[in-house]
Amino acid sequence: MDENEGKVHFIYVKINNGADLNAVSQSVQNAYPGELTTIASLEDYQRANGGLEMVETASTAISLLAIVIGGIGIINTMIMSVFERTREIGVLKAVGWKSRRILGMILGESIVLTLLAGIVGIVLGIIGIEAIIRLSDTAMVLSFTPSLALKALGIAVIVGIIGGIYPAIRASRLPPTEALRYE
Amino acid sequence: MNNGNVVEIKNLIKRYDNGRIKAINGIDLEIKEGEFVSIIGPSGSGKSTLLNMIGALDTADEGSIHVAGNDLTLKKDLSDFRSQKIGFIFQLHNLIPNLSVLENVTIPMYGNGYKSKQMTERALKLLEYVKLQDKSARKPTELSGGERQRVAIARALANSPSIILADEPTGSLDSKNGHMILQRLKELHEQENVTLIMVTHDLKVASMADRTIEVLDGEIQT
Repeated sequence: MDENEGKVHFIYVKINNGADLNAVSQSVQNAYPGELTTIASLEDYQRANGGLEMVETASTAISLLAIVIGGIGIINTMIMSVFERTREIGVLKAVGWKSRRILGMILGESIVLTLLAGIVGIVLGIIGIEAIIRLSDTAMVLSFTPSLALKALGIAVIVGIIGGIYPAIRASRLPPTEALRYE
Repeated sequence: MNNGNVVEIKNLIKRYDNGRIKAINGIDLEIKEGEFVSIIGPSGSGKSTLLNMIGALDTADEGSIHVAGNDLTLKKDLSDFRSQKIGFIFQLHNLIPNLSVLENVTIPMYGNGYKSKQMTERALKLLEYVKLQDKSARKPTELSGGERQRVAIARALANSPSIILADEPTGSLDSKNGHMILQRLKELHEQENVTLIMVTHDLKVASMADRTIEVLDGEIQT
């Protein structure tokens, strides 16, 4: 929800004494079909608000889970990559590459991999949001802002660094003769 | 080392398997600058271990080893030494399959102050030297065994090393290609005054060198 900062989420309407609450509520809904929902009592408001908070908590939990799973995936992918390229790393050491250059290479690959995954995720996210909006008649407005995309890319880079650091250190410390003997 | 020796090894010992196996057992060796030396011996005799230690790919457990003025037992990071002083040629060429021939030759130049254009120019020149300039864009998998080994020679020369270490450079080649590779190495040694140290188990190949050293059970046979 905080991604919609600066935008209108709620409009409070004060009705005159004696006015019919349900009639006013219905006429507001009729005036903006599909764009907004009306809540006519405090209980309904609290229920709606509680529901939104739950959605937000669930969304945060799913995001964290995705980050953890993504991080584990990256560690696994990069460890496999280092294993498969053990001999190549041995060659790089034999021709004089410094450990920190090898570390940078593996870490760089990890960051590029997560950045690309982040871009694909953003595109899929936009497509998914568009699909939900088109296929459902929900009054809730789903939005995707540039700041959310930047945040996603930032998280992707962090996951790339965290996920790539261990395989990168491992690769940079490989003894050249052992790496060259690897089949 | 102002006595003309480019390699000076004294009482070199290298153990493996928690000290149970002595791969090198007290070797003393001197190699003059510009000399072509072949190291022969059966499999497991320690000849490749000796070569790896001269090239700082492996470290000594005991003894001293000086190569091109560098005490290899003292230095911790030997990447600069390997990059600037040594050119390796392996039996199985060890080219990186997903890089082009040109890129494989430029690999040793990274981190040595070359600009991208300079690296490409130098790599093309070296490929011309090994007569493979027309195959610079190909992948190693598209080349024959002899051509791959020629790329490996070009890569070994990338930083103009003073010492070339070749571990069975003709071991995986047929006799025609093997002869061609040896001719290239000999030319290189004669024209550029490069010190060439070659491990082989082929006595005919070894006979091309100025001097042959026989290693058996980690010791030099006299």
